[in-house]
Amino acid sequence: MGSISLKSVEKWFGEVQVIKGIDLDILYGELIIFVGPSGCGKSTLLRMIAGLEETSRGQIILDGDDVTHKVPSERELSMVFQSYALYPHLSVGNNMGFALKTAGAPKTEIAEKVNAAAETLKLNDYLDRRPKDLSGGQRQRVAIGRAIVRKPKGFLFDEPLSNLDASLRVDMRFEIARLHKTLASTMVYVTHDQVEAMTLADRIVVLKDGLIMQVGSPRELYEHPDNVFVAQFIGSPKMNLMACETDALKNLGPKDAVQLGIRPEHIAVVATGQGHCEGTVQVSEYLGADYFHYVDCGDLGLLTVRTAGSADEIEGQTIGLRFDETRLHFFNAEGLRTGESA
Amino acid sequence: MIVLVIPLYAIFSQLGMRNTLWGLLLVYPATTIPVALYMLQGYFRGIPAELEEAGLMDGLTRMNVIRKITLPLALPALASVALYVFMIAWNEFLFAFMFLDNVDLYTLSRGIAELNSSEVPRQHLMAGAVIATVPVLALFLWFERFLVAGLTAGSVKG
Repeated sequence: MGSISLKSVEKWFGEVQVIKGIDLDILYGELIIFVGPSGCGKSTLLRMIAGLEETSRGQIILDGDDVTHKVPSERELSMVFQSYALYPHLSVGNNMGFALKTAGAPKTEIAEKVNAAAETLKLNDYLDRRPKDLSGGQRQRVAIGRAIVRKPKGFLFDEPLSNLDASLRVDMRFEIARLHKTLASTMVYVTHDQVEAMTLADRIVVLKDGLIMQVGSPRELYEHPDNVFVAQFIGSPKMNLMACETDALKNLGPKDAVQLGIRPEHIAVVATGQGHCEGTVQVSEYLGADYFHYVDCGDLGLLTVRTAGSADEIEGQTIGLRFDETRLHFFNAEGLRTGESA
Repeated sequence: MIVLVIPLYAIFSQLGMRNTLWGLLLVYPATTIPVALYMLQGYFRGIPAELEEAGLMDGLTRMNVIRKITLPLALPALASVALYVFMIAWNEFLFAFMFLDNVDLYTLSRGIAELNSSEVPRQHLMAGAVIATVPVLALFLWFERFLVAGLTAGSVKG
């Protein structure tokens, strides 16, 4: 129970098309993540699955039933909002049991399930408190608790960690990953944070301007991006892109290649004259485990190079850069992947 | 108000509603509802839309979202607007003074004005005025429990 299919789904706001025909099959038990820059339609798509936003065209199939025109309550999905959206006039316990109470479950069953969810999320001590007496992290746990108390067909997360501070975000990310393993239910998760996407997802859907750019596992997306957009969007720091016509790179790729991409960690620092190109290190950022060097390579532009944090300082020096030729990505004039590395 | 009184006097006289409580029952809501709506809409707009969406996701219908989420959260606003509207009607004098001739129909404020005569000791008028404030005072004390600030605090971030 819990497979979701989108069939040529479109969303129009008046004359503006926000979702431009999306086909996607989300399998039972899968954690699928929608990522993309702001305004790409990822939240809209999630809200359409939830039923909070009408679907202009196409179909949404939930467990084989067409739910396109059903109201949210008939879809049996749970949602966790970015802003938590807890009921401020109810205690934590009542917030979590609200959906069960609405469904007319007996009191003992509600108490039992709320306690079980509170146990999972370590909220036992807070059940009688009001949301305003909780910290941000606790509130988000209540919001997740509210979603898991009943057994929905699937969970929808709308940027659930965006409002938390960095360390709490890491904790909650782990929490969600753990929940996904224990509950084994379908989860659709929207985020603009690619670290969340890479760490949590079974499959990632990269969206841009209401269209799917690529669907695949985090590794597929990182190692075999289908196009320039995905190549640049996934990975931090971004993949370096260079024009293929420059002398240094002319014969590396297939004939139709226009752009060459290489991840910062696949570039080695060598002595001048021994690599594919050379340049001056303008800025070095020390991150502890890593160094990010920004190297001005003239015609090739500014390249980012990642080296181990234990390497020597090279800021201001002129260095040679050697690309790992097995890790090159080539893109044609349309920005699509072409050929394999030479 | 004075601008309204003269035409209403003429119309109500022709409709036979002038010397009746029904006439006042029509006038008071007509003058207070616009202000009450204006006051309430600001508050309703301030209730985060996500809360209502969370209600929809939790299995409520639109009507039940209003009943179980929106209205309980709007209680402070409903209470203060109700008190305001009650006070306006309770203290209203001008319409009652113009429309009512029959002593049996007098509203409290209109009745107290009747005490303003040379035959009644002035203390009675003053006492009447004080007594007239007591129900409003009592009502306010009871309503105060609903007038809590920040009922929506903690619901959404920021």
